[in-house]
Amino acid sequence: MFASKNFKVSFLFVLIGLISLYFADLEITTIDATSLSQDFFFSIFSMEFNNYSVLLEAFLRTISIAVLAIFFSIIFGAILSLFFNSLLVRISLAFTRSIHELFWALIFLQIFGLNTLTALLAIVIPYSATLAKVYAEILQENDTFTDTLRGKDKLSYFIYTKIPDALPHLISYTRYRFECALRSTAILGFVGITTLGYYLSSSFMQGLYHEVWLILIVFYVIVASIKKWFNKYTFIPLVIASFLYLDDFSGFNLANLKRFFTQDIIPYPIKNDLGLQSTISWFEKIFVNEILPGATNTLVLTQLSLLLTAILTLILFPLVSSKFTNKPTKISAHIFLVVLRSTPEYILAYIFLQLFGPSMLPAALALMLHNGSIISHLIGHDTDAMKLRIDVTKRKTELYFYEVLPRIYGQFLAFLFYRWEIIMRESAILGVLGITTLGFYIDSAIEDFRLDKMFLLLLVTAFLNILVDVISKKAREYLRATKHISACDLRQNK
Amino acid sequence: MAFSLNNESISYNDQIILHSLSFNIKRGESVALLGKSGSGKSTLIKKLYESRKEESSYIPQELSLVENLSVYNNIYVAKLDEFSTIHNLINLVKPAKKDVDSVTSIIKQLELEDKLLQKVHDLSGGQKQRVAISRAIYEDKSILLADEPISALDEYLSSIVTRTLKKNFETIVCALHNVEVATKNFERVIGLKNSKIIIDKKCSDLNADDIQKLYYVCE
Amino acid sequence: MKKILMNLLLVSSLFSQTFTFSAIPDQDETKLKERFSKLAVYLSKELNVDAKFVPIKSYSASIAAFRNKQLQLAWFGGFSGVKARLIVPNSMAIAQGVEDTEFRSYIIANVKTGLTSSDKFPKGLEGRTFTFGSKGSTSGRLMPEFFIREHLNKAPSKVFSKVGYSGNHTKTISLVQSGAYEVGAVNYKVWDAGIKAGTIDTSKVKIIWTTPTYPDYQFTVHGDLDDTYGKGFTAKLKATILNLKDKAILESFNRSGFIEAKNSDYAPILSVGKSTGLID
Repeated sequence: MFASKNFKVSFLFVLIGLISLYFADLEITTIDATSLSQDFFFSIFSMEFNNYSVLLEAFLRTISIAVLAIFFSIIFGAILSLFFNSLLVRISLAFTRSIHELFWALIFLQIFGLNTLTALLAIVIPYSATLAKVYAEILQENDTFTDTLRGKDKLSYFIYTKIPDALPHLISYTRYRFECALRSTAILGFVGITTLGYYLSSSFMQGLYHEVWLILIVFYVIVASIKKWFNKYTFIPLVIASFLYLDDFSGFNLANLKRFFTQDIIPYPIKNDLGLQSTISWFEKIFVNEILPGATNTLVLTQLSLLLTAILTLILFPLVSSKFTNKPTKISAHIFLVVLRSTPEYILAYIFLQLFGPSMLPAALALMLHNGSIISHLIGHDTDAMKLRIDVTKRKTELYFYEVLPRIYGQFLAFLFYRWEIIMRESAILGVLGITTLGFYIDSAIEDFRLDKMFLLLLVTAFLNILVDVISKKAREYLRATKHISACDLRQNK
Repeated sequence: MAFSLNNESISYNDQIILHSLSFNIKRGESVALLGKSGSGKSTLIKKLYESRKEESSYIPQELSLVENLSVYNNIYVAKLDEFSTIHNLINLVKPAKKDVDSVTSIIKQLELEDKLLQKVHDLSGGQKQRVAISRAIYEDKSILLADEPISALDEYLSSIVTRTLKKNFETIVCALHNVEVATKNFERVIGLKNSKIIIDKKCSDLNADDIQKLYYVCE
Repeated sequence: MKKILMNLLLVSSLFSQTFTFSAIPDQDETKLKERFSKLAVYLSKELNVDAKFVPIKSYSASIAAFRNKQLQLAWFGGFSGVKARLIVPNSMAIAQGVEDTEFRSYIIANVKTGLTSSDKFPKGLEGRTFTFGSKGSTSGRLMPEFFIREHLNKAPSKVFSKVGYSGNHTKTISLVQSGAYEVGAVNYKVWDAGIKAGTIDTSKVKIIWTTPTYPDYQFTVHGDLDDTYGKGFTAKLKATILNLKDKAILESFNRSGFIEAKNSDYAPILSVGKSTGLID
């Protein structure tokens, strides 16, 4: 056991996590956090909103944007997945995927302004890339037809031998992605697009917590009921309705697009012909003052959050497993996890930031809770399906350590590695809230209108992300835990 | 001559697994290839298929069925290249009566006619094997190369299936691991052990010693 | 769809009469909406255009919208105005509040810190947690940072144990009041209005220093408004703002009136921006 690959990898990551803990700034700086927390939590009993028609519009807008975004992402993702063998396609998709939708929104905001077009592009671009990758994986995983028998009519063979078995997986993954798209669209409000996040952050800014709760709870209900209203019968009507509802897709501006790529993002010294020397010092200054601390903090937050996620998962999953708990406990734990999972990390972090003050603590807590609840749910589900001997020990602790944990540990690591890249992307974006990860410097660069710097920092963020993605893939191969990695999508989620 | 191997080595993943093989298989023969798993029979069957692709049908051990397609469509797959793409697409929505009839006539022989529109996913292992066999028959070729196609069938069905195969194919080479099934239903047996052929005889010529050897081969 | 069809059916003449304006989100949104919806009504009436206020979530987004000509007029802070006019050729400041020529920031502190108010730059700031307003704010960021650097010869990140950006002035006050941050920098107008309205708990938060004065808010417009809205429109717009006498509007702005402004009025802000490294 102690020399096993699982142990070695776990040990390494625990060690890195502990080192990160040492460097992480986790101070609670609010002098009077309790009264604020009380204010916040008790407001749940006085939920209301000052203008319900505005709220309704925000919800409809959020849903419509998410529906259209997933619609276009499915189209582009499906087409791109067919070319996933091409290295060029894979690299460009890895790049677009590695930039968070909020960052994309910040970019398009500069080019097209605050409109539906910006919101759609911000989601469709990274989502198409993700869908392309996962679609390609699913098509490959579910291909049981030997190549020896495949004939010349490529299209016919594709439709007969690849699609039927992959289709249920493609659909359930797409549905999961739609859930993500809803969350992402809501979040876009934080940068000013009038979706839920817009009103959520406004209400929060003004301390109107009763409004915050109302928005959150309606959002949970919408996410929890996705299966009821987003399925094969409603999909096309939803797309059409969304298209009609959003109404206005104008705002595309070629001149601005050109300006962005040919002027805005060109490094300032190069644009102004200040020579090599000042270009180097421009870069050096950014590297020392922003890239280095930003990347370090991003990594520290990522690794710490990964470790915390792992710990939380190991504690939480028995609560949603019928091997350990009775039905009532399981159901209430399940609801708790669904709520945590449905709350975007960004909003969780935002709430904690208000309560505990600015440090990595709010971000780490948010990432831990969100990701921990997702993995716990998956692992809990796996343990339910696990067949144990009839005479297996009745003592829960023994059951946990001797029977269940050893069986699911490989899967547990695989899920963690899959979430790793996601945690990293989130760590970067949480900087926008004021935690000094890369997102903080990107936000500052935008605030200073230094889009050249913003672009450089975005490249660094993307590079870090791709790096983690590659390491995670290697690690999974090393552990040979590749099974159902793309299935880390709550595919079995009921 | 259907196949003629002269001192050939057969490799898999750059590793030679069968050394200097020599044998001839005449048209009209039905040959059982015996050996335990890992003896190289699967590789040999596949190599033989690839050398005569145009004339032969192939049934891989894992069957290559599409779980979420109906029995009918899984069999229809054998002729995808023969029909136009449009015809293939329409077939998914509304199959032509002619195609359904010819598939039905095949699965009747294998006692599967009541399963025509069921998803393969819901079938038992033996039923799945018969679907794969039906697909091979539907392809309408003269040679069959099959890798353990009847391992999940009972004695009764095995004999029905082999009889049907003989009716539909001129030449048959079939990997097996059951000595009785092989000697009862095939004309000739080839036994592979330690990457060599250690027995190659007509079933009618087998003596007690040979039978002993065959059991040793399949151990 | 409706709008696309409308675009096709109607000539752009109808559209050109829409006059969109916005402001940096320096305060609570409800306050901003109240203020600018009144202004929209006034401008629509006086100028015979369809004046429309669009709320924008961040300082940088309002600059971007102005740059992309999605706004014709903007109520910028000193700093955001300078940045906008640097990247938008021919854009110009046309009017400012009477008080904006001598604007100030307050440095405020939570009472529990024990920091006391003084006329000189306060002592004992080192090692405290500190929040600015928005990263792009003049009174909540640029000028306080400038005075901190001037008096302590160090960047704020070196002076304080933690530096945050609350987002807007209202939020800065509430964060320092709640103790989320010990010290903060805030627009004096927003503070004074809060005191008047009774929304600030002075038993928990107080002013410890008032900065010297500097020029701040102003209305900025594109240089080519006359091309779209007819000759003399810019002058008319300017006059309309300068003649604003409506008490309710002036009160919502916390200004006693508006006076003429020109780009050069903000030269001090530009040089502070350059000296702090916030403008290239």
